[in-house]
Amino acid sequence: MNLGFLTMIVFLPALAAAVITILSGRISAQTVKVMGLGASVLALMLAATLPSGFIPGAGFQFVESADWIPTLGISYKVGVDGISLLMVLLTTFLVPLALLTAWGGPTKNEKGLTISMLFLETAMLGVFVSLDLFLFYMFWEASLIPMFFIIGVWGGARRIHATLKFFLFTMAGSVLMLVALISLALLNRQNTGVLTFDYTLLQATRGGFAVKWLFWAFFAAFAVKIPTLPFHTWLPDAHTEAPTAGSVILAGVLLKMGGYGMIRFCAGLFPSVALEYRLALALLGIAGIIYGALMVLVQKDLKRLVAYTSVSHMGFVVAGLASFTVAGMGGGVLQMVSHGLATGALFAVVGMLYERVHTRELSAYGGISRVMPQFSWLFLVVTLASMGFPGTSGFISEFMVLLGLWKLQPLLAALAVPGVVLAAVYMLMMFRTLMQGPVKKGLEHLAPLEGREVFVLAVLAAGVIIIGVWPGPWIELIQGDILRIIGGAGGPG
Amino acid sequence: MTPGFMSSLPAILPELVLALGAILLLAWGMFHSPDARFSVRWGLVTGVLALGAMAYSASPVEESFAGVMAFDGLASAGRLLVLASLLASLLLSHPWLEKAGMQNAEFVSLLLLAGAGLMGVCAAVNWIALLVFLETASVAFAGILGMRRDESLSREAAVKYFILSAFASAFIIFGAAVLYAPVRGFGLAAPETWDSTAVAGTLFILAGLSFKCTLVPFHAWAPDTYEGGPTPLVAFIASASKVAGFTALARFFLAGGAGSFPGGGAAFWVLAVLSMLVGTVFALTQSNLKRLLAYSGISQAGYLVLAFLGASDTRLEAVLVYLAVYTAMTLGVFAVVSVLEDEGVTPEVGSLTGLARRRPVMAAALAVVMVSLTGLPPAAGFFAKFLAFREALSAGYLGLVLVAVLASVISAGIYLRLLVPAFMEQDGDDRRVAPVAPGAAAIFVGSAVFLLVTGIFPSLLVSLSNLFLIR
Repeated sequence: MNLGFLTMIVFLPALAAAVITILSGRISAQTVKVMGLGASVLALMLAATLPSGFIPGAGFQFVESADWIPTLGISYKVGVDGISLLMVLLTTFLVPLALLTAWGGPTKNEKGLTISMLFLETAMLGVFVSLDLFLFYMFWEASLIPMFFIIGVWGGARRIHATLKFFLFTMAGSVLMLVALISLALLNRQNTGVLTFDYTLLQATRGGFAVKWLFWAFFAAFAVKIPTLPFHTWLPDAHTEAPTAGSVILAGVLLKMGGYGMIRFCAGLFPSVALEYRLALALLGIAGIIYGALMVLVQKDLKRLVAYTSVSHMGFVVAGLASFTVAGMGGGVLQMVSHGLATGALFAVVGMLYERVHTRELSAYGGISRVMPQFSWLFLVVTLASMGFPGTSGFISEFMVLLGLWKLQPLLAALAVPGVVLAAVYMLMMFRTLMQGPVKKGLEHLAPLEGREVFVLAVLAAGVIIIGVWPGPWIELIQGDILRIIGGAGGPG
Repeated sequence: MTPGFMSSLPAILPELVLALGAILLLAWGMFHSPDARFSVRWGLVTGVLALGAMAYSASPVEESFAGVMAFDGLASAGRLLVLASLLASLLLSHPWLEKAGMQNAEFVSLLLLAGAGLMGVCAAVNWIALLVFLETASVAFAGILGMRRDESLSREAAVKYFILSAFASAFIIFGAAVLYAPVRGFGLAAPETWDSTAVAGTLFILAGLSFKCTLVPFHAWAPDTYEGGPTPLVAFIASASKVAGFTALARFFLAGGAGSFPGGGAAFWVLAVLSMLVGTVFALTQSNLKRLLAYSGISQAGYLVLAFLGASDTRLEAVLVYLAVYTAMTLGVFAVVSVLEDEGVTPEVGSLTGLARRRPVMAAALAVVMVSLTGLPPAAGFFAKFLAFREALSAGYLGLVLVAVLASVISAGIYLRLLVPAFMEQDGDDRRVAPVAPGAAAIFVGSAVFLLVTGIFPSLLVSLSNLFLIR
């Protein structure tokens, strides 16, 4: 039993949330916010020290394990490789920013929002570091509950419909994964005589036809979460109704759990199946890219519009991971980070506009750059990042995905390219509608950005640009692990 | 009296304590009419004494009373759960009795007798003994259900319960009679050969016990009984009656070796699928909380069959864990219902509106119980379902597990529907918030804490159940 640093990072937010819950009767909402922000910043600082001791490509590190349910072969085991490390950094980076966007936010029960966000952070971090399938599933499902409350309590007018839809869709996907992971452990017991839920031990499981349906059952859970066509319909509703902080985390981290699951479990546990179906999966991803992009073009609601850009961008993740090439998978993982930062920023931007104008109708906006010039510069950077402009992270990641698709089948790359073009079209159209042209009635006097709002956008924009101009270290961080996963397909299937 | 009888007596001490307490209270009630406080305290003291007696007679006795009872690990686990539900429903009855103003002594003593009966069912290994204990409980239940003679819902509950439980007993008697020749006796044992007589008898017994476990299609009494019955009693029926039913089921089909009877797998398959689907789908359409919980309990019984299917007499941990978690969830949610009733409202889904603002602790406890009923981590309901699915999968019931996960997803719609008004809707109504009765508060807080702690550290449940099973 060795518990330490990683466990501390994972459970720090939940611990803070528990303390806040106990104290909440006695302290003010302001104190709660400060405590919540403090805890999440502390988690970020702890997580930021991880890369210094990390050796890229050397498999799982900072591994900690303890007996949990020994009779069932279930242990508490956590550790990070490059991919999970990147996700941990993304999560701890985005949560404080999301808390900041909610600073002036909802007037009812502000304490509850902070508490829910902190519990959610623990669940998300747990998903990214779990090395035991049972533990992973616990965190995976537990993350639904705070999000259910975040959308349902602090959301918009149709919040209850949205939150139930979100819950039922994602739960429907994940219960199939539960059946699959039990079956996988039982299959492994049949082969080896040992009952275990340890990720690294289960990687060796082979079993002909059985692993194929296990692969698809895992895939169902992740496909709903990411979401890919045709399981995406919960996303626009959830995004539209969620409060800003919820949208930032939903787009920034929760969707990434789907992509992470695909690479860690679908590809990591069943590499030969992933290899076999890579063409079909890549097509599914490309369909998402094009469909999402086309849907964006016809949206009249600002948040729905941004939600559909997520469908399109996450299509790149699916296509990249499916390509099963080093470039494509690396691009897919990088696209997750890039989308997390850019779309997180986009939702923050939309939230800031909504707080000032109180409508999500696209047609109500226009000419905002004249009223809020400083805001429009930050918005421009976010827009460019989201469309994958060179110099931003989106460019690198989408380029790598296209490269991977090209290697798999040049035609696929050709099919995906219109997505890039469409992204430029819809992002620029959105920028023009909102920012340029004559100032719409009622928008003449908008409050300038507060310091914290500038900070949130500037930090996210900086992240996008840093990865965009200096992608080397990030790719290096994940490359070794991707090679290992691809190498896994070499064995007998 | 044979020496064997005398030496067996300590083992049955808990039941004797409960029965004696009940009779003394009845006798006292003939001359004085004790108030609710006194009666409930009397009941609680008796229950605690019975708990002490269980600890005293903890060493398992394989067979006693000439092989009619077996005080083994399975019996101890079942009896402990029954006793826990008894204490909880006594705690809930105090405010209810104060309000209803009915015969306090009779209510409490019948409840104690029912407890003794259901505890006996858990230890019976002979059909005659089992029936005697079962009828003790059933008659006591019907008596309490019918106490509010002026209310039509209460009369309906009593009559439905009485008639259908008589049917159930008739099924068991008939089955036992048919099995007498193949088994060569009234023991809960498997027949030597599975001819058609033996199979018929086994099926009759399965049907009879299914009434007690509220397995579809033998569930019809539950919704009306739950709706019309006094909530403290319904909490007891919902938890303890099912515990006793499943213990008897486990004893006959697993420990007795009757589990492998021809067509048995198919019979249990049908019972499980129907219970899960019917329970879940009907619960979706209910607006009365107690009816909703009746259907929810029916679907939970379906999951319990899953735990049961892969089990064997040496591997009952999935069944015991599910029963323990189910008991905690049921008592927790009925404690919430009883608080709502104390507020003077009919327990409808809508009456939960604004609960998080009015009673934040109770709302949080309700949230934990609902998350657990849905089968989501980190509450213990998830681990119970996980074990059940694992057992069923390792026994090869993949189709059944797929139905179960489908039902789980639909069930999220039931349980989350209660959290929506509680947390997400506000009413202008500032219902005067009287302090929650301490008994009810203790139960819903205790149940939520139990579900969270055992959900995060499931090995506690595993080792607890192994404490009873492995000797």
